[in-house]
Amino acid sequence: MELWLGAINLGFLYAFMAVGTFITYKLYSFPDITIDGTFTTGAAVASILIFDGWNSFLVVPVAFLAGCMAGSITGFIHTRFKIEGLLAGILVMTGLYSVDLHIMGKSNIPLLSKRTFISVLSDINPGLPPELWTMLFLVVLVLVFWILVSLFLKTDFGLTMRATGNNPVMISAQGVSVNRMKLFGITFANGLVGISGALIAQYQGFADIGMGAGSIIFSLASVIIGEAILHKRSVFLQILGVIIGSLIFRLAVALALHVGMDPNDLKLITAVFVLLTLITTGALSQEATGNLRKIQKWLQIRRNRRITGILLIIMVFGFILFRLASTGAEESRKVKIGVILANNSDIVTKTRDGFYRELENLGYIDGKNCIILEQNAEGDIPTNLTIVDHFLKEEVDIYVPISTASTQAALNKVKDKPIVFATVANPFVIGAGTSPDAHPPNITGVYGASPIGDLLKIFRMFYQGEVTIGTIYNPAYPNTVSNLKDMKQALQKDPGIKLVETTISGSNDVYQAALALISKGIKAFVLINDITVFNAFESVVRVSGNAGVPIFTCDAERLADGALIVYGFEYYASGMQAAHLVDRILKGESPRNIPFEKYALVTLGVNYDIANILHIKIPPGVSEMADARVKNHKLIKPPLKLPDGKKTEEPLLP
Amino acid sequence: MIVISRLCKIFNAGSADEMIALNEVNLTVGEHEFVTVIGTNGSGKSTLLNAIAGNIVPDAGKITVNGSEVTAKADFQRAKYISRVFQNPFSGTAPGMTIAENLLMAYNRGRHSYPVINLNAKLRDYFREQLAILDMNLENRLETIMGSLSGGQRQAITLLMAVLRPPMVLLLDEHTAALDPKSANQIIKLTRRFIKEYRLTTLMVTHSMQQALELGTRTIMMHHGQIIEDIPEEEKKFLTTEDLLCKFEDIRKTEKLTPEMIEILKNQYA
Ligand SMILES: Nc1ncnc2c1ncn2[C@@H]1O[C@H](COP(=O)(O)OP(=O)(O)O)[C@@H](O)[C@H]1O
Ligand SMILES: [Mg+2]
Repeated sequence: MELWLGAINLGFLYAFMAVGTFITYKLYSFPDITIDGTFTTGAAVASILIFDGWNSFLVVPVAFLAGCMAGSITGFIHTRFKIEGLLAGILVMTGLYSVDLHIMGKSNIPLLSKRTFISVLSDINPGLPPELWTMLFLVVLVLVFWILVSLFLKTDFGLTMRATGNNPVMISAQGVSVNRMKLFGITFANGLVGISGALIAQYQGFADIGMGAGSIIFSLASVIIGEAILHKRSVFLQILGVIIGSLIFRLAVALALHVGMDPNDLKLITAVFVLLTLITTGALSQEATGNLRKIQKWLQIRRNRRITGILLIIMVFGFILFRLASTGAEESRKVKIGVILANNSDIVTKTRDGFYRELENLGYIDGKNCIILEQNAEGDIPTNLTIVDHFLKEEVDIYVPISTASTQAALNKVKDKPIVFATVANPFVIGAGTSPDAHPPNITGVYGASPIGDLLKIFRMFYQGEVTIGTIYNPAYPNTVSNLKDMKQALQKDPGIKLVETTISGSNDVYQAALALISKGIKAFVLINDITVFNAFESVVRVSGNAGVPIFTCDAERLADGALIVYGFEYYASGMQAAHLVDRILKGESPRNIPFEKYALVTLGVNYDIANILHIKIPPGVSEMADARVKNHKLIKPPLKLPDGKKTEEPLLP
Repeated sequence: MIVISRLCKIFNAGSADEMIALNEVNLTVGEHEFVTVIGTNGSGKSTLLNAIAGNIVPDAGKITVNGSEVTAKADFQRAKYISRVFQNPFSGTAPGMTIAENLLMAYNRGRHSYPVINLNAKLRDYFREQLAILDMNLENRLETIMGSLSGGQRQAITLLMAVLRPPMVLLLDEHTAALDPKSANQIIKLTRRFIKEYRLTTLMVTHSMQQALELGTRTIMMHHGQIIEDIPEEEKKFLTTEDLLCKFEDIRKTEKLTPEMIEILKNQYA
């Protein structure tokens, strides 16, 4: 039930955004892409204020105003400078990314231990299941919203707004400034999107810089579904349709996850769905000529919107009921392990692979004595939440979120089942306790920041005296920023090393950033772990080869890719450690008594091929300590084995 | 009421298809005057009305309405004094909204609209009364969506909307050209009635010689962006459509129109 209730709740929370899109898209034929940024703005403003102790309801109007401000900029650019609406939206959305980041100060704000409207609600819960209780609240909230918005659109002002979109020639002949009405409409719509952002950040327990991506397509889909179902002229029914559309869309997402569909495919399907609807509903018909018109005609024969809409609803709900009915009859209970991946990065998949292998070594065979469920959010942050809902519905016994975003989602929703997280740089900043021993009773896991201090010690074995090094990083990622802090801390003990830093905002900037560092006379690249830089690692390698400047890095996976020295944790081993924790819990230990573990395995890797190319001599001390080597294009690395007994880190260097 | 002096508008200036739509036009229309405007296709009639309404910005010249200069004002700023009915019967109303809602827009013309619901029973009664004047059985269809009405019905409502708050100036641009003859007659009847009742200062472009002569207190004829004839009321009474065609003949003489073009003109104004 959790999965569907959670989806309905998300649908209600996204309804504000969908109504905003209804105003811009349906009233003004203006698909306002600004909302991808505004959604995050609302979440950012709300989170930062709640973090500072503001009342969780009071932040909603503030987020509304913040959204209004963002929207008014799009409206202003569009109406004053006659820049096409779509382009104006893209401009503002792009700019908002930086603004949102400034508001938040980092790319992710956890609200887990803060008072959100969800926690306020749970304090007055008369004993209902939390999701159901939340739903009751949201039903009332959205009902009030529905009535207010519909009434507003029926006032003289609201009528003028609608008429402006319906026939701008007529309305300006009635003495109304079309520009002013458009400006107002876009502003108001973005305010509503800000409300959605503020509420969803509280509901999911965090705000994230990436949470708005794709909002426009999703809310267009909601508007279109709503129109198909309630194809009515009455404003009340139109708005109701949009709200229902939002619910159905979220249920469809849940359904897709439920049947094991890849959420990435869902995006494609949504995009195709929106495109087809745009073609069939004649949104393009004014310019439609020739073949396009033929296609429209052909599609329209098969189209009766109301019937399509009703069929769609019957299909969705029929399927849901069918699944609900059939989940009752289940075979004898095997332990269910739910693995949540936030994305497809190396770090995450390595952890997972290590986890599975060690689980098997410990005797857990999928399908035989346990059931392993795995779902991947593919980088879409709210999807983590839906995955957790899905697992709750599947009655998963133990949750294994891999990476920070998945762990946040699990922390937020899972209260009475154990959670074993893996590959989280710093669990304390996301609200999972205050120290390895002091944490919520159902949580344990494997964590650690990269060993940058030790890497610098190894670097010192190559270069003595005064020396300049360079590093590249994307300040948008909290992990990166905390890695950089660690690096600077380590450098304080060694004033002979001068650090030059360059920031980037995307992988495309990496090449130029590397060149810029070379021009500043660096002796080596010492790279902290940064996903953006590693996505463009090739660029650094190219600059490194041309300039004869080696790369030192904390990511053990980069050895064969062209780094001279790697010194970093084995994420594969982190997964293995997590498997042992799961084993202990399933054997009856309480997570309350299991301290968080740091990564147990570090690899020192030396690439002798690169050393040859760059004419660098590897000091004998380093050669001796090396665990992995690249020689003659071959990677030589002993199989990973967890150290017996001691699971905490062992200083490698004196 | 309207004073236009040396008004110029050139489209696509400097390019190969440069078009002088208005060439130093001077025109004074007194209060309560009803002027019909005729002229060949492309002679600048619509451009003149657009300039008065503020839909285009003239390149030179000056327009004053009721003593205040409006040349640089936007269309929506002039709407308080100036009402328009377009040739296209779909331009003047919002198709997705009801008749009552459309009338409300006109009822609020030139004023600020506030987030209050004004469309109450009393106002509906008033709208019903007004719709009854149209004599098209629309008075009991206040909640009908505008888009579902015929062109004639929509044009009648547009006309009603234009005079619901009687303006200082009414501009009509071939507002019956796109209608069937029966609807066109009905619209002309209503036009006559409203103008008389509210004593509106009016400029009406028409494609029909007969309308031009039957209606109004004065007729002007445009050609190549200029007003080439200005016929006052006394003279109009004795003028026939043949006389008007003779005027076109005169143009031919002065401007060397080809006989074919005369033929076209004759057909057009038959
Ligand atoms: N927006 C425009 N752009 C370019 N040319 C225009 C535009 N509007 C009108 N014209 C040209 O100006 C001339 C006068 O047009 P108009 O005033 O519409 O004539 P009419 O007397 O038939 O109403 C025509 O030749 C027309 O092609
Ligand atoms: Mg014309």
